Amino acid sequence: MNKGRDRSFGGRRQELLDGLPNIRRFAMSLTGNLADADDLLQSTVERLLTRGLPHEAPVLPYALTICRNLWVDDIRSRRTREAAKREQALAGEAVADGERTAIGELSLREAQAAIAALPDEQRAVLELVSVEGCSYKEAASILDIPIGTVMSRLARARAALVDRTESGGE
Amino acid sequence: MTDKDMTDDEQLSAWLDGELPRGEAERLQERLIAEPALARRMERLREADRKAQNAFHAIDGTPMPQTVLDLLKDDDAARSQQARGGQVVTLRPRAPRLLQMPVALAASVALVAGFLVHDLFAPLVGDDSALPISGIIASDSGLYRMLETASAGDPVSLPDAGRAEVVLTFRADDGDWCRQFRLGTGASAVHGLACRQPGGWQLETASFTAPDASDGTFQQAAGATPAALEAAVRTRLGGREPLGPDEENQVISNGWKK
Repeated sequence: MNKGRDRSFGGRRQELLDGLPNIRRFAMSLTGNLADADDLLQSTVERLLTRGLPHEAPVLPYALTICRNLWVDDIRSRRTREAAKREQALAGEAVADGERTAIGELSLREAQAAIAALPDEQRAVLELVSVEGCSYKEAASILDIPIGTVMSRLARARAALVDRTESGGE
Repeated sequence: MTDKDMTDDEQLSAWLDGELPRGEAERLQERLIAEPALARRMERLREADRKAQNAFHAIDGTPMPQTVLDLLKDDDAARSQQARGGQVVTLRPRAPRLLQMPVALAASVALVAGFLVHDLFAPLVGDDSALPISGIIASDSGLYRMLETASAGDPVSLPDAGRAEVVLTFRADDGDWCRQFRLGTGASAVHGLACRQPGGWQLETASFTAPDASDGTFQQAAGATPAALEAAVRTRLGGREPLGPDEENQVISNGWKK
């Protein structure tokens, strides 16, 4: 029945382990708060371990797709999230590490608040392309949207961030 | 979708991601040269992107949930993950993103100084190339800060260029302080030579490896310094030795006074 799927994970377990921070960041971009992101991360890992993944499939893109599907199909349908709570969480929970304090905690929080204020679908595509380095094609596949939509959502997300993180403009 | 259907922001955004088809990218680059407002908009979008990256990565500073690590803990892998904390891995290197490397240099040099953009972008469509470019490096750029303050061999993280470092520091035979640097890593790196002038850092030569247009792969061995740049450095060195760490620290502390 399960021919073509790798349930044992074998050496790919390490690949999944290495990709946990990536999946977690993407989950954060979907859920907007750390607690839900970690729940979604756990669900994603559990799903991968119980159902395995297709042989030859690259672990991380597949895991991100599972993560997105779980969010859309399951978690999102069961929870009502409040935007205000999300914004507060995104702006308040994330911790600046030593390297990032160099850019200034204020601007980091400002950027986090600006990201939190983005529509969910823009935030997810921005995270995939800008942070995870996905091509537009990969992002389109993970999010199950056309490439043109990836392009327009990205542009709108970046334009919104420019508006919200710049005080004066030109 | 053609460029006629796209907004400027969509084109700039796709260009920053290396996702604009070549013909459209070339037309946009022409416009970036001719329209300073468009170039400024591009810089704003790039800066917004950089801020977003930092913000998204902030979650890496919080410990990975133990329940998730336990799920994967049937070998030593989980422990090693814990030890590494929120280490960043990427999906895989992708050629379009690597094409940004010369663009990152352009942001530091040509677009800000307002010239030589043609020279810088021409190799995007060519093979392994040395760029006979020169220009003032903008004093508010990450590259400038690295050249001004970083010790050779100390990796620095720069917006867009990612990992960067000064490779070596030396005094040229005419008395100028010069530094060879690298933006990016491996075959996707831009290698450059900049020398300190009274007004600031001046880029003298830069070189990078363009991807093979046919399959997007890179032709140069990872980590190799392009021969053209090595030659430029040798010429400037004029048989002298590069500075050792102590001498270099002293010159940095003295603000690159001759």
